[in-house]
Amino acid sequence: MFNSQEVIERVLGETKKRGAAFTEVLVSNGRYSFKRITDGEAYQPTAGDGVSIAVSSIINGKRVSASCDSLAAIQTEIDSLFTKARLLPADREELFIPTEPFPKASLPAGLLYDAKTAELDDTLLIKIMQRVNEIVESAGFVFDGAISQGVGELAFANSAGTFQSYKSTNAELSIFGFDPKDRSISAYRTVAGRSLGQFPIGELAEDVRKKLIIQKKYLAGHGGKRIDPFAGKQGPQKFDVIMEPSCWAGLLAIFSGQAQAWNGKTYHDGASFFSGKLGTRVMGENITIVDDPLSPLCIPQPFDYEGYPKKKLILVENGIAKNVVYDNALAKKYGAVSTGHALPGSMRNFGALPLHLGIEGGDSTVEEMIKVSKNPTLWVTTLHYIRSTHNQDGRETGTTLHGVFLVKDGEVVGPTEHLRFDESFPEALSRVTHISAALPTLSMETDMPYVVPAMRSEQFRFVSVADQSLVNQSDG
Amino acid sequence: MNDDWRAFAEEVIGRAKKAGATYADVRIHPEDRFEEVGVEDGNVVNVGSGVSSGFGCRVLYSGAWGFYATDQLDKAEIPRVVDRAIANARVNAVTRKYPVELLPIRDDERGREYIYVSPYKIDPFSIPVDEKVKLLLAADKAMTEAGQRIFRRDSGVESMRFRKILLTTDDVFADQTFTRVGANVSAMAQRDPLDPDKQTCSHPSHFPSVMQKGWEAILDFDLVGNAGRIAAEADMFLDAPETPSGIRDIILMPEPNNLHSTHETVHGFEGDRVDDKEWSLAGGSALSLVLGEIGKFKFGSEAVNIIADSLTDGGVGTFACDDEGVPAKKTVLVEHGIWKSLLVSRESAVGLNKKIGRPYFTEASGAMRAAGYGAFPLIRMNNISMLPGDMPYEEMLDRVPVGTIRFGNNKSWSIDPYRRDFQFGSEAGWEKVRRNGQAVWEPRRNPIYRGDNIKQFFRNCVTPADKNSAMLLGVGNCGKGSPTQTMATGHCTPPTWFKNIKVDSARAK
Repeated sequence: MFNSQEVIERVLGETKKRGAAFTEVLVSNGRYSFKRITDGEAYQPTAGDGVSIAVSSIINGKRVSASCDSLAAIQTEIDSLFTKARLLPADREELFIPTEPFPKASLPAGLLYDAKTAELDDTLLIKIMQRVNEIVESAGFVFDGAISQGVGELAFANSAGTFQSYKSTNAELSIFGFDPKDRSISAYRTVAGRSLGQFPIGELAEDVRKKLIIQKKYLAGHGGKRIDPFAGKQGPQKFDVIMEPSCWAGLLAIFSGQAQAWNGKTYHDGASFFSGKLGTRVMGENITIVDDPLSPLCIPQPFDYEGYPKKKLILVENGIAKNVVYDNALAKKYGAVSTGHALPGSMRNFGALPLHLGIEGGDSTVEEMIKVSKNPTLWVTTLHYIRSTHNQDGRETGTTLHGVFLVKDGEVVGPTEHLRFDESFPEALSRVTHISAALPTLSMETDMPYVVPAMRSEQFRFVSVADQSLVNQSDG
Repeated sequence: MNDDWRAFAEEVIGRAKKAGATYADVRIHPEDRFEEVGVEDGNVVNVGSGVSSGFGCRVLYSGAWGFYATDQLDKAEIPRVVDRAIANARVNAVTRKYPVELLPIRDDERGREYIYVSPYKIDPFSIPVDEKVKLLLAADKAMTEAGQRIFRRDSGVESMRFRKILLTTDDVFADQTFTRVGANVSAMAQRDPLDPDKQTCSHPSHFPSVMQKGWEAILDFDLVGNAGRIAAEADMFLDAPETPSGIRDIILMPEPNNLHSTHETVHGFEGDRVDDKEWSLAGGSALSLVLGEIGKFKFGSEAVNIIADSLTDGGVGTFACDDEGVPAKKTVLVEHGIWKSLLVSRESAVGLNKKIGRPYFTEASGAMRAAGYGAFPLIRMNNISMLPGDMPYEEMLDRVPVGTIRFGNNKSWSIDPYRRDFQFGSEAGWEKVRRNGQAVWEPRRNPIYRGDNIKQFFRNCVTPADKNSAMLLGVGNCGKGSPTQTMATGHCTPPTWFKNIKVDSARAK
C-alpha cells in the first residue's frame, strides 16, 4: 500500500541529512477510468493507476528538481540532486526559502470528494453513455465524446514544516452529436466537476439533439446550403455574437495560458497584456474575472504546488484590472504577497498561473440573447484550435465549430458556414451586452474546467469563411 | 535483462490469451529517463531530471478494446493488470454495435523480433550538467552582447532516453531504445517596458526542437553562434514596418514549412481522422469527403510530394516497429500533387476499406505509437517530409516577384478541424523590395498568412527549393488523444515558394 507520508518523511530526512538548505516534496497517487466514445461505442478506453513523486531542493544556493514514479527510484533521484547541485554555479538571484510553515489549507471534504465516484464503477460510465446515446440517436444522429472518473490524493510537504494533503475525485463528460452522413452537422456540450452525479446529463444531451435538428431541418429545406455571412463582402467582417460558455472557456484558457496574461512574472517583464494596466479599465463594466480554487463549481484545490493555501482572487472587477498572480518567490522579488498560484517545483521558472478561472455570471439566458438580437448575429457553440496571435494585444484566432447559427430579428434563421476569427479577447469583453449564469465548462484547448457564462458581444471580428464543402478537382 | 523482460511480457500475453483475448499487446517501459537544463537572463532557472517505469496491457475481448496500466513494474502485478484490462473490455463490449476488426499483419511479419537502439555519437547523459549550463550561459552572453533592447533571454537543453518492450499475440517482439535531445534559444526585445509590441526571435524553433540523436545534435544547432543572430534580429524587428495586407507570393522557410506543410496539414492524413473517429477531439479531415477519390485526387500542384518515413536517420519518428507490431516503413502520401495514401492502423485500415468499397489498404502504415506505457496507441505521424525540388534556394530568392514575403520561425498556428482553413504567424518576416534598382529583403513585423490548404495553398505551390536547403527538425509537443498524449514527430522540408497567398499583420484591425 502506497504511503505518501512515509515517502515525504524519507525524502525530507535524507535531503536534510545531506545538507540541503530547503526541500519540498509533492506526492500524488491516483486511479482513473476514461472512455472515448465514437458512434456511441467505447473507443480507445484507458484506465490505470500511478504515483508521482516530485522533489525540489535548494543545495548550496542552487535549485534542482527530480521526479519519479516508484519508491525504488527515490534514492537515485536524491543522489542526482546532490550530484547536479555540486556542479552548478550558484544562482545570481537569491532564492526564496520559507522560514516557517505555511498556514494549513482545508476545504470541506464534500467539496473535493465523492465516494460514489471514487468507486470508479465502469458500469456507471456505460449507463450514462447509453442514456446520452438514446437521446442523440432518437433523432438519427450519433454520439461521440468522452466520459471519465478519477480518484486521487495530493500531498505536499517542505522542510520548513508545511504539510498539506487532500483526497479528491473528478469526472468529465463531453457530448458531441453528429449527423453520420454529414459530419459538418454537429453540436457539443461539456461539463466537468468532482462527480458525474452533479451533471444534468439529460439536459445536456437534449440541448445537443435540439441543435442538430435545427441544422438538419434547415439544410434539408435549403438544398444543403448553409448561410454564408461573408457573401458579397470583402475582407474582415464584424458581427454581433452570442457565444456559449465553451467559446469563452477556450478564449480565457489561451489568454491566461499561452499569452500568460495574469502571470506575475510576465506582468513585471512587461510582456503581459496587463503590464502597466493594473487599476485601469481593460474590459466592460459588466465583466468580472476571478480565480476561485475553492468554488464548488470547479474541481477545487485547497493549496498550490508549493503548499501555500489558495483563496479566491479577483483578477478583473467590473472591467478594472485588479490583480495578477504570484508564488512566494515572485512575490518576494516584486514586493508583493503570494496569491497561492505556484507551479510544481520543476516548472517554477515559468512564473505563476491561475488554474481555476471563471467569468462571473449574470441573469440573462441564451434564449433572451437570441430574442434581443435584431441585427444579424452569430450564435456560436464552441471555438476550435484557438491560439494567441499577439500576446500583448490579447489577440486570438481560431474557427467556430459544432454549430454556428445566424440569428436575426430575434429568431434563429439557420446554420451558417464556419468562420475564422481574429479578435482581441479583452476588446470582445468590452462589448458584452448580455451575460448568462456561469457553468463549469471544459476547455477544448486545455482539457481544464472554467466556470464561465454564455455572453452576447457586439462587433466580433471574423476574417474568413472556413470552407467545409466538398472540394472539386478543378478548384484552385 | 532482455530475457527477463521477455518472460515478463510472455506472462502478460499468456494470461490475456487464457482469459479469452482475441488480440493483446503489452508495452513495458523499464526506465524512461529525462534531464532538462534552463537558463534565463543569466540565471540557471531549471535543472531537473526524472525517471519513470511501468507497463500497460491492451486487449481485444468480446469485440471491444480494454486497457489497463500501472507504474508498479512487478511480476506480481501482472494478474491484476491483465484482469482489469479484460474487465474493462467486457464492460466496453456492451456498447459495441460491431466488433472491432483488425487487418491481419503479413505472414512474414508474424513472429518477428526487432531489436533497435537509436544511434548517437555522444551520449547526452554523459555530458555533465555544468557543461550544459556553460553552453547555455555562453548563448545567454551572446544574446546580451548582440541586442541592446533585449529584455528576456531564454535557453534550454533536454535529453531523453526510453526503452520500450513490446510483445503481441502475433508473436511480434520488439526491444527498442531511443535517445533524444532537444534545445532552443530565444530573445525578446522591447522599445521600452510599456511597449505593447514585443518582438521575439528563436533558434532553431520557437519551442525546443528535438532530434533522435545524441549531444552532437545540440552542437550542430550551434546555439551560441545563433544566439547573437536572433537577439540582433529581435532588436531589429522593433523598428521594422508592419507586414502589409494583401495577396502576395510567400516563401516558407523550413521551420514554418515543417510545421504547416508536414505537421498541421498531415494530421489530416491520419486514418482515424479520415475514418471519422476523431471528431470529438482532434477533429476530422477534408480528405474524408473525397475518400472515394484516393489515388487520383488532386491535393496540390505537381511540385508537392509528401512522404511519411519511419526510417529517416535522426528523425524523432524513427523506429524499427510500431506499437501494434507493424514494421517501420515509408509511405507516399502525396505524389506529384496526387493524394496517394494515409497513415493507417490495423483497425482504421479495415474501416477505411469498407468506406472506399475495396481493399485499398492492404497493410498498416507502421504509425501506431503511444506516449508511454500508460497510454493507448494512436495513429501518429512519424517523420513527414516534403520532398525537395530542383531550384537552389538562392535562385528562388532571385526569381520570386517583388512584394514576396518570406516567413521565418513560426510563433502562432491554428487550423480548422478539416485541416483546411489555417492561419499561421511568424516571429520574423521579410519583404522583397526594390531599392535603387536592386532587389533586397527588408524586415516586416508580426507577419501572418491565412488560406485554404486544399482549394488554394498546396495547389498554389510553385516549388520547394532543392535538397541543399532542406532541414530536418522535430516537433516535441504534438498533442493528440484523450487523455492528451504528447508525441515527438520529425519533419523535413526545404524553403518553399507559394503564390497568391493572403498575408497580413497580426495587429491589423
